[in-house]
Amino acid sequence: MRWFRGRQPSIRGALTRDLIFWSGLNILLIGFLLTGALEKILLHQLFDEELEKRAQALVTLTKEFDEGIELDYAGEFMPEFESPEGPEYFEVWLPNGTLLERSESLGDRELPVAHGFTPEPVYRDIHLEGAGLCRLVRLSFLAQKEDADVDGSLSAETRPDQAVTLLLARKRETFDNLTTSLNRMIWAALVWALVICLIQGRYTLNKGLKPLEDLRAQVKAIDPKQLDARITLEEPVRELRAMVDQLNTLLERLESAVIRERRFTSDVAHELRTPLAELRSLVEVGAKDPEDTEMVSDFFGDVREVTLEMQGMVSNLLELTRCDTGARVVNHEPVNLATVIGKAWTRSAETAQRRRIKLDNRLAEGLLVSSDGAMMDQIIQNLISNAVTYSPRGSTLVLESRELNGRLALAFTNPAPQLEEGDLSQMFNRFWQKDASRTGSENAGLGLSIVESFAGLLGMDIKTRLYRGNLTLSLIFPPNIN
Amino acid sequence: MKLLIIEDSARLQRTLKRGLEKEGFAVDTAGDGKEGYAFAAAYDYDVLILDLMLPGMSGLEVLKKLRARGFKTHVLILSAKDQVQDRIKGLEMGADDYLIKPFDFDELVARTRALVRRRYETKDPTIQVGTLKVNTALGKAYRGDHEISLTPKEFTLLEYLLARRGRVVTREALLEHLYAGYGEVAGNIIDVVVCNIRKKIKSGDEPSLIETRRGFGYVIP
Repeated sequence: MRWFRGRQPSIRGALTRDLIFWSGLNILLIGFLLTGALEKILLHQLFDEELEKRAQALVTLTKEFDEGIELDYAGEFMPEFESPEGPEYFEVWLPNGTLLERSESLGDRELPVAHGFTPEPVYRDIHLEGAGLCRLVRLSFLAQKEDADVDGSLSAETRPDQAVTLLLARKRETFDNLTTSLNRMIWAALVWALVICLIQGRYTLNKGLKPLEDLRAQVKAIDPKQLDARITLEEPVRELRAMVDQLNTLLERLESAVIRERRFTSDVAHELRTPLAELRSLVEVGAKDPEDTEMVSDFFGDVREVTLEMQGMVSNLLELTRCDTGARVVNHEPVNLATVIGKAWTRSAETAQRRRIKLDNRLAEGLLVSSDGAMMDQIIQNLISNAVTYSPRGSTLVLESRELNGRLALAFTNPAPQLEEGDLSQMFNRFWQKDASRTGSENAGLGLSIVESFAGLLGMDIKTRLYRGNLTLSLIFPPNIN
Repeated sequence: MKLLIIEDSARLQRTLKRGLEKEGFAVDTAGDGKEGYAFAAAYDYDVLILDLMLPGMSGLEVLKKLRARGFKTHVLILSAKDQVQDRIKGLEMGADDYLIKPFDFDELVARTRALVRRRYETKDPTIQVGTLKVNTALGKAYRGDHEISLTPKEFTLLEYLLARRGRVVTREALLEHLYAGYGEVAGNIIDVVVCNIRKKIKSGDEPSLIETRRGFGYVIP
């Protein structure tokens, strides 16, 4: 029992148990109903009717003469009443309670039932010594008067002291043997039906559960290290389609999450390894010849640059982590977009000047939005810095506001000949850089990830479009932020 | 010994160049794959120090193209890629060594010297001529137990001649090996360096180790 309890419930087990239980129960019910009905039909409708017909024959032989009532009975014509083994026995009782006639088959025995008046025929089983179980009918009737047209039936006016009572018994042995044989056949057929039912049920179960088994086997076979596996049922069924689709979607998401995590870890490692290699080389080479003051002085400058870049990367990573964990608090306040853009452009001015990048600011003055000032600063700064760094020399960054479905959109457009359509879906990934060599250690590829995370927190949408080599990145503010 | 560093990080490139030069190597640098490949194909370098993630052409492509064209220059890959598969791939494509960033500078120097020795098929880093012993792994020269103080250029020239012992090396070859990429240098610079070496390694009445073959160059017999 403990072993049984220890096992986990199974659909197959539950269905098999139910199948056996309900099939067995149905078979039992059918069996009892059939055998009961059979006995009732055979006994009451056939045996008892036959018995009554036999009784009626005796009734017609019972006649009333002037001398009294007589049973005109000839044993040679009714041998069933002659032998002690029967199979039939009768007694005819006169209205005054005296016995008129008893069949030869009874011998010294008496039928063990009362022989009083009965308005309706009464049937019952009796045990007759030497004959075993018998079926008996007791009926009262009016003896036919000689030459009178009386059929012997009782009427409402018939008094008990006028009626003759006939007790007629017939051995049940043959009938019982027949019903026993029939019952056996019925039960054998039902047991056979049960076995067939179980075999068929098992086959149906197997067939019905095959897609589930298929699904189970495929899910079990999924290697946690190989997340590219997808579930494809050999025989797709409607009931499992939603589950399979959902599982495949989850697997897909899991795989891309793992790939993203691996790529992220690898990118972090790479982004840290290179500046660490620079730092270590600077320190070790510098330490070999500290007297070379010119070299050591140059190295100090390089060390400062490297540490600032690493500091920036760590800050950006922390910022992203805060966004991911919900630790970044949003403080809404009125933000003047023109001021934010002005500050961001000033910070990028040196690079813009060096690369001859121009700003075409078409934004209306005094455009106020309700947002987080610090986050908006960072978003605009990153977008302008990206445009200034990656646009071709001498190009122009255009800033303009638009209205998209009743929402304010801030659009940044700059030439981006290096980008392809496929890059648009990846450019917000952490550490993504168009140049796979990641040359140019000033940017680690986190700027657009921060833009995306901050925009998400601020309820903004981002749309990107590449048209004729120009990239347009639109920040779509949430409704009613003006 | 002449090296080419192909590395896209300008700071690392600068640092390694200065450090390796102080160790006596003549060092050229390239910042992208295409430029690096052009340099490696045009000049005879003892060792190439090659980054893998390079703009223009990846380090593996540079290596593949060089090997496809029959260049046998020893290549040391210097990469932030630390996975075993990356190392296997690099070595299978013809690299001779693989060093993961960040690295110990002395280890880089030692591995580079080992590759140089492999080029000249000398497994023993010590070369002995008479009582003069030169340890190419340590970058040091000894007369008996006494260490001789040589500048990096002097050591490089001495090591170069010892690696080609018995063969006359022209002044042009020495100039190319020691000062390629330095722009204009004095015409007699090689003679000055040889003269300095002779003074430092001279022992009593022994004849000079480095012989002059007029009109040809120098040789260590």
